[in-house]
Amino acid sequence: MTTSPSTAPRAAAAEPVQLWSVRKVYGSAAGEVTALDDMTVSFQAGTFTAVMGPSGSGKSTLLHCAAGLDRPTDGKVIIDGTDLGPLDETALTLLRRKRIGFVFQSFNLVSALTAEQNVALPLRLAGIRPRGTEVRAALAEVGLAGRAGHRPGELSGGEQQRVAIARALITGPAVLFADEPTGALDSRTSRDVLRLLRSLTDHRRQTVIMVTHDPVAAAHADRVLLLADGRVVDEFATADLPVRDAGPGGREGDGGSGPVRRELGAEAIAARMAVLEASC
Amino acid sequence: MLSMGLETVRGRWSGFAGAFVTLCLGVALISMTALVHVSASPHVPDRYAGAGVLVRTPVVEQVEGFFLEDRPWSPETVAELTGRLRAIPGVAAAVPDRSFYAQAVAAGRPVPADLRGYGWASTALAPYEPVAGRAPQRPGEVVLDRDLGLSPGSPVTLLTAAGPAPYTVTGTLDAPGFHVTDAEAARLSGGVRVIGLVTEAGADLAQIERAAREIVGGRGEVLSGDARSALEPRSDERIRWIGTQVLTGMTVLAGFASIFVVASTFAFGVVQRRREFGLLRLVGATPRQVRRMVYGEALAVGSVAAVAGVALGTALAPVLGDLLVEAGFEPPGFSVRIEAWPLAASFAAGLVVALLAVWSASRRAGRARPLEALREASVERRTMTPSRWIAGAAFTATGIACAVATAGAEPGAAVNLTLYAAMALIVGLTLLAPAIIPPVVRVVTWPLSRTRGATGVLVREGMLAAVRRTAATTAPVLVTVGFATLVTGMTQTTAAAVATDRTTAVRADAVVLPDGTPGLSDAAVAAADGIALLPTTVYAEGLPPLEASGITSETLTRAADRLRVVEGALETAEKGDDRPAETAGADEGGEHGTTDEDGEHEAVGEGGEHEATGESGKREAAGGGGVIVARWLADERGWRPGTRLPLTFEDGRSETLPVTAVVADAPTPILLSRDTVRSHDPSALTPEILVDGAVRDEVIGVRDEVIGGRVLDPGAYARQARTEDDRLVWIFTLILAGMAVGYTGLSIANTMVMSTVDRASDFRVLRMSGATPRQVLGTVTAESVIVAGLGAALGVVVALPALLGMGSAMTRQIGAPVELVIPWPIVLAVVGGCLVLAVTAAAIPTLAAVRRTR
Ligand SMILES: Nc1ncnc2c1ncn2[C@@H]1O[C@H](COP(=O)(O)OP(=O)(O)OP(=O)(O)O)[C@@H](O)[C@H]1O
Ligand SMILES: [Mg+2]
Repeated sequence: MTTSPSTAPRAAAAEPVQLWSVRKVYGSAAGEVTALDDMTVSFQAGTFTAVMGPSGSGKSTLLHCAAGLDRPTDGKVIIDGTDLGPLDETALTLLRRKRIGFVFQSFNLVSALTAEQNVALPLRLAGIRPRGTEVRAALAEVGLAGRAGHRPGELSGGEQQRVAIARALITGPAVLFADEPTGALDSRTSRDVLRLLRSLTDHRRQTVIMVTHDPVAAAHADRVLLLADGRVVDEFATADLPVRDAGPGGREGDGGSGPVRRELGAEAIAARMAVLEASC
Repeated sequence: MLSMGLETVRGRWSGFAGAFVTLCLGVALISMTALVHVSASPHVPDRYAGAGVLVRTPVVEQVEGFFLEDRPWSPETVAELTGRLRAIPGVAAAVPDRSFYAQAVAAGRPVPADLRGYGWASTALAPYEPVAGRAPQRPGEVVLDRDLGLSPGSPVTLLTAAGPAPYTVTGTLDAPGFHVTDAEAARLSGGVRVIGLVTEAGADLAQIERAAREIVGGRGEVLSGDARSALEPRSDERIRWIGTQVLTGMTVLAGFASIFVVASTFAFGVVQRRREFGLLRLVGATPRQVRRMVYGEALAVGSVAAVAGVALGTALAPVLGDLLVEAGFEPPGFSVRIEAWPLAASFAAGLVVALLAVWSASRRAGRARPLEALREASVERRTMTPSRWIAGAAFTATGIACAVATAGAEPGAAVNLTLYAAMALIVGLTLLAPAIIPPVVRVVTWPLSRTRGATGVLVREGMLAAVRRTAATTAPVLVTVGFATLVTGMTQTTAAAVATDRTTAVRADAVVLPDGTPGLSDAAVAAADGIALLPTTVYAEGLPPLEASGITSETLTRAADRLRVVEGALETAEKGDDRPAETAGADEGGEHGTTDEDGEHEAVGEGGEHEATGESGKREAAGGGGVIVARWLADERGWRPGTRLPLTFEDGRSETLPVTAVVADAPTPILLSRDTVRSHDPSALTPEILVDGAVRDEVIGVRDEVIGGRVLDPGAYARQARTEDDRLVWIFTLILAGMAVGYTGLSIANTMVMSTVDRASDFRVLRMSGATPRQVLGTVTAESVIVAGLGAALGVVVALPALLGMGSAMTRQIGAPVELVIPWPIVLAVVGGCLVLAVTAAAIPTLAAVRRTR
């Protein structure tokens, strides 16, 4: 539905992230690598999208370009109605600061700052004096009310990741990008983090775009994008997966049947991935 | 963002420790220097503390570094001024102050404590209390310092410029100096430069001052209150000036070293923290904000360090003051006053140094890109930025230009140029290091890549991949070895040059030098029967005071080839010896045959009246003769042989003397007959006597008769005859070298620890892949050794061009080849020290990291 080429950009409110014919070529002495090949894709507001694909297929590159961290070689990226092309480094930074949140696999926190200070950082960078209650509320929302004064070194991987999510959300961004946010976590902690992301979409209509290798993680999303060789090769809504039959209302992530449904969904996604990898 | 900086500093204190220590020491040094500097203002000499109003001769601006006495009044002017000043209502007495060289002799050796004699009347100007005895009333009577331990009635031998003479102690004072009758003081001293007014109790000082000013007019300056501090002895002023030079040198070096070390610490810190800055950028920090954060860190570290430094400096300043007095850089009696503003200024200087140092690091931090947060950090892509290339090349070129310029410079300027050359080369090479180092490392470590073990490959590839780190650790070694080589090489080469100069200069079989005295008396000169110059000061209209030497015709004959006559014939005394000085207007220019009508200057009408006045006693003018002038002075003034020069002498009298020759290589700008000098300057002392082979044995035989002198053979003379100035310069150099090396040593340890701590995770990976702790330690040690060796080699490379330039400057100056002396033992010791420091500083954190992984 969203990969279909279209002639005019759609409304920013409905699709806060749009990529138009984006190409990204990495040049190096060893030769050129086309990481994204004429990719046109957009993401709808209030949805949770998982991006999957084999290693080297361009997932991270897509995310970097979509988030304005890297500039595409060709094509246009529109975030929240703003074309990133003409923006200079500072303007781009200001846009990122206000409209975009990120969570990565690791290296997410400033090690010299406490959890609370890390969360407040984007506000302070924007010149806003952070209110203690606001920051504490954000930490409480990710279940870390008691750890505000700890430095990253004193937190577990999952806790660090949740601090990173709290920080990404503190400015109320239009989109939250996550690149393998559970890649370094065990399955239990992963599940906590994924539930957290799911609930953001469910309760706050937060747009989330997540790169992952894990079909279980992808099963938490509304939509899955499969990439290979810098192109979108497949795309489907998790609701449309065969396991949908398992029970109506399975969309509600917190529902009692959620985990079961997701396990079945994950199997279906893994099957699609296997098909894709076999065809490559 | 600034407060953010504060938090990062709090969070990673260890990373800033090096910058902190360096800055703290730098600020301590700056504040000590500032306090000493402020305290080093002149104060009213004790001898004049009891006189409310004093009159002195006009001051003539002198060339920087010269502290010659000002022109004295003529005896007539003194008589007239004294008479008229005494007549001012409220003035009890007007005392012309006369001083001369005098020293007590005890058991055949001069006592070094007191060196000046005065007229008794001058005690009225001081608040001295007589301790015992009475005033001197006859020639041969003296009142002296009670510290000498002599009581009234006892005999004492006083050494004056004429030689030893017997005196009788009539009293003692609790004050330095020897006080004789005024008539005798007039006989022993030169002219009068100060007249003190003793006022009656309750007199109106302001009114007296006004009246005195009216009387004196343009012939002098009237001083009262604190302004009297202008009367401090010129010798104290000179010592103070040298002290200022030393302190300035120390401050500049401390500033340079602080900026260098702090800048490299911060730069290195920024390289290490690229990921952190990338993360900040990712989270929404603009490049500007990142830059400001780095500034904030510098400011935080800087202000804490500056406060600590100011405290340290305040505590140590009195100690430094005492040391400076001891070393002869400040006059005795100097003490440090603690004042607020120098401390505030030092604090500010500390902050400025920190901010300057962090400038380039902050720019680099601002360039960090958000994606760098997501990459492994150890392999750098771009190590040389265009601006780094440009700046590095510019500094290196400047350094080479300075080194080349050294070759053509005056020796005084050469020392400074050498230092500039070294500083510029150090900065230049440090900037270019990332470009220079990879090929060098590749060559040096090539054998390692052939070895079978893992260590070789690890060392080689590690150093090549982290060029910046290798460069950063090389830099402080480079600076240390560079400075050490340069400074010691410079002093040793200079010393060697001076020795060469002396050896070529001294064509005598023995030299008599002062021993425990400021100079040799005429009696010593007569006893040694050698060749001696008699230094004095002469005054020509429209010129600052000029150094002059009295020279005998015998000396002239012997020195003829060294003086290099440009024009005229060498003669000073022959024709005028027995003849009274010509009076103004007398024209004897024709006698000298070379008179050039155009070059003949009109004599000034005033000089040369020589009736002995009552005050100066019986002193026949035995002057006359001709004047030999140095070429630069003759060129500057248009003087030629035959020009008639009106000159004023140390006693305030004037004579008009003809120029007989212009020479290229004079020891002083003006040469006169020795008799002329002696007749005008009764207190002049001879600095050294050259003795001929024929009389040498005899001299050594009469050694005991040469009071206040010792006899040396020319070799010993060339080796050890350091003048006081040389000694001060030597101490100065040692202080500078020690300081520089201390600073950079600190920086070596700092960068080594920083870089090793940073690699803890590498070591962990190594250990996990099966490396034994020994192998890890071996890798790190090998790296440190290579880094230190590389730095040492570059350091020597930095120092050599500068030294070569200086050597050739000296060769030209002396006219004999000067050998470049590099004290290799010292240099090797410094290199060894760097090596030990580097290896230790790297090994300790490595051990700690390796332990932690177990
Ligand atoms: N900075 C870079 N320079 C050169 N090539 C790059 C760079 N970053 C990525 N690439 C190349 O671009 C392609 C896409 O990389 P990308 O990181 O987007 O893959 P990915 O799908 O995220 O892989 P993975 O699942 O392993 O994270 C790869 O072939 C990679 O080698
Ligand atoms: Mg990736």
